[in-house]
Amino acid sequence: MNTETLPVDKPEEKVKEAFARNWNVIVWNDPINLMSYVVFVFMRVLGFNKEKASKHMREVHEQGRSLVATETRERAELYHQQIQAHGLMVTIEQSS
Amino acid sequence: MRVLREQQTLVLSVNLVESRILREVLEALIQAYGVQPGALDAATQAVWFSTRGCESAKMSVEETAEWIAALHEAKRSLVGRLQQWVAPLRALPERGRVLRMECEEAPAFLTAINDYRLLTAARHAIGQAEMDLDWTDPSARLPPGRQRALLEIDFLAWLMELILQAAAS
Repeated sequence: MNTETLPVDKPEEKVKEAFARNWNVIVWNDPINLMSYVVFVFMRVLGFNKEKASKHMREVHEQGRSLVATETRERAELYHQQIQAHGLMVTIEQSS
Repeated sequence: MRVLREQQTLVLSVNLVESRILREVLEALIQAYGVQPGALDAATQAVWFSTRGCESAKMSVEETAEWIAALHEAKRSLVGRLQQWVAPLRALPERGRVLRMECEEAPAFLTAINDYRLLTAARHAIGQAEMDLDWTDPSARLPPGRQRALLEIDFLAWLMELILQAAAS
């Protein structure tokens, strides 16, 4: 008789994971997108005010990337889709 | 070229040459947005449907395919508006032409023409070095095809700046 134990779903862990704000949204520099357009996209998609949007735009421009949000996976995926739809280079990754 | 805001409307006035360039840009976008992502040239696929973020998110093949399909649908949904915007640019020549759009439509217009800039840069291998070329230096000119691409990218950048300024006024 096979006594191997099958993996059991742990619903509480899945719920915890779904609500964990541990997904980083990172926007990367590129030579084509205008600085003013990047500011516009940050304000429109992420709801930043002009000052915050400009600060992150400068990070992208000067450091090559900017961490613009740390969110739940679902929200990070939404930002990923929306920022990419505006033509900016964006990735999401789970924070360590 | 001039962009003015009249209450909730943006009024874009262009001369014949500007009108012709813009018409060609919008027509190219109408065509490209209708093409399935897999049928696009590799350069356009790479820039419009980059899956770098899907890879970093460890999305499955199926999830990535759904993500690309949703992105394509978002672009395809702009075709109707692009057709509206190109119509006045196809009118009989006068001294210039006027394109009107509601302020709330400006983000879609900006995203579309930015898409064209990205597509053109990718197809003609325009990178940082080309964007930084000194226009006053005759020896810095690119071969004709790439020079035209760079000119289009800069022309559309000018238009985007004017729209962003007018929309914020």
